[in-house]
Amino acid sequence: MAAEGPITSGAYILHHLTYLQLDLKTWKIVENSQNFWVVNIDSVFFSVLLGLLFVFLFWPVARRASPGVPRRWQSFVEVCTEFVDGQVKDAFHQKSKFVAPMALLVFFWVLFMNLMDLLPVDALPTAAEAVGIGHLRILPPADPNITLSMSLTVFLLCFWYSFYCKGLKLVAKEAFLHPFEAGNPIAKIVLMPLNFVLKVVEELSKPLSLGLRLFGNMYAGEVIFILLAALTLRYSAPAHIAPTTGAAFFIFAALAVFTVGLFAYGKGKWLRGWLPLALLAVIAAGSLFGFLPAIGGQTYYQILFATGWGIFHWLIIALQAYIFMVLTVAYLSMAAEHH
Amino acid sequence: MSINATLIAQILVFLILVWFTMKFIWPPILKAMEERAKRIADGLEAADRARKELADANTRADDEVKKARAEAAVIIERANQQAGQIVDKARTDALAEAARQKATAQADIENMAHRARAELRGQVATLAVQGAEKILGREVDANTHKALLDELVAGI
Repeated sequence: MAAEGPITSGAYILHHLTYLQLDLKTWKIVENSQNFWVVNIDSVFFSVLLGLLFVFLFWPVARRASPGVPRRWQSFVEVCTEFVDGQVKDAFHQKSKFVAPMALLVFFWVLFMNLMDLLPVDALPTAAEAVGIGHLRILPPADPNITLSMSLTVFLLCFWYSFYCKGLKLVAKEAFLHPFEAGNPIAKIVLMPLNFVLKVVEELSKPLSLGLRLFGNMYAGEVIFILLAALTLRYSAPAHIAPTTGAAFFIFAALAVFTVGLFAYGKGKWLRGWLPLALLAVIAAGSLFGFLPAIGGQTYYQILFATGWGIFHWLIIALQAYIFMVLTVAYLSMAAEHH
Repeated sequence: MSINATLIAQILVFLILVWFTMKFIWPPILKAMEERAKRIADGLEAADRARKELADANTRADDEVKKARAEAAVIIERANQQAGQIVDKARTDALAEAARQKATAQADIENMAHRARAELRGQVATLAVQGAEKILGREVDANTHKALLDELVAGI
């Protein structure tokens, strides 16, 4: 941790929300830069990494795809492809070579990026700190640059695609003669600026809402994970005893996993109810009164809290990926269709 | 949150990934799936056709069997008729033969009876002449009394 002395929760949270930035003008790592020519290396690194994950999961199947009896992994990939294809066919009625592949990529890429949220908030940043990287945000969708860049790309594709499908005349007609329509030519000309302004607002709201929706959901999820982790800070080890509690860390981590396992798979009211509750009470009391190594208490709570919220967060992760894909297809469909 | 050059970098990454997916991932997978769907459809169609052909073959076989059975019935009927005719003819032939043989036998019997009677008559005449010679004590000249003897023989 960058901060000296006891860590306050404010500093802890801020630390987790700071990007690893590279200034493109000076080629130096900077912190909290407000310049435009700065790249958030962590966001780009993890999004590229997860994009490559998608490629390496799907490409081998694509290269060896055969119409014969599919093997297990091929079946899985085909089920995914079929799912996306069905969604695209529902929403998009033109023939297009890029919409369905783009939907597939968007769904899985966003899903993988969202799933980064389930990694323990301290795991990778702590590991990065060990090799000298001060800040690391591993969740690309919690960076508005990432989500907005994707939605802007979708917007630009829509823009190009509407010209491609409808031609200049029809696009201009839609931009200037709707939604306010008039019978005589003078009224038409008078209404043109108003119509155009409304159209611009309408079109700009699409990429903004698309990008900000994903960003907002994932950012909120990440912040909740960080807040839950920050709640446990008071049980963290003072610096001077931390090295002695390495063993305790693993013992308590194992205990935490065991408790969660009991809650999940235990049978009867003893194994499922009283025993894990008693374990929780013992650890809590021990941590509060300092009987147990403090880092154990922190880890214990972090795993419990993060598991609880993580199970719920799964829904958001999958749902947001799905929504992003469906809206991408829907916007492209709106761009292509005359309405 | 501040917007910076990450935006541009990510747009490039996104476009490259879309291009890659569009070029190398989506088409082969979809092609394989469509080809498999076509194969399955073809297979099902072939199965349907085979089933229909089998049904056709079965009906044809049934028809053949029925026809064969009818023909066999006709043949048996004709054979029965022929057999009846043969038996009838044989019976008539046998009856005719029997009648003919009976007639021949009767004719033979009659002939033999005639001959026997004629013989008997001759012997009776001879006996009568011998008897008469004994009775008369002398010889009766057969030639002299030929007319008389013939009359006698005819009278027997």
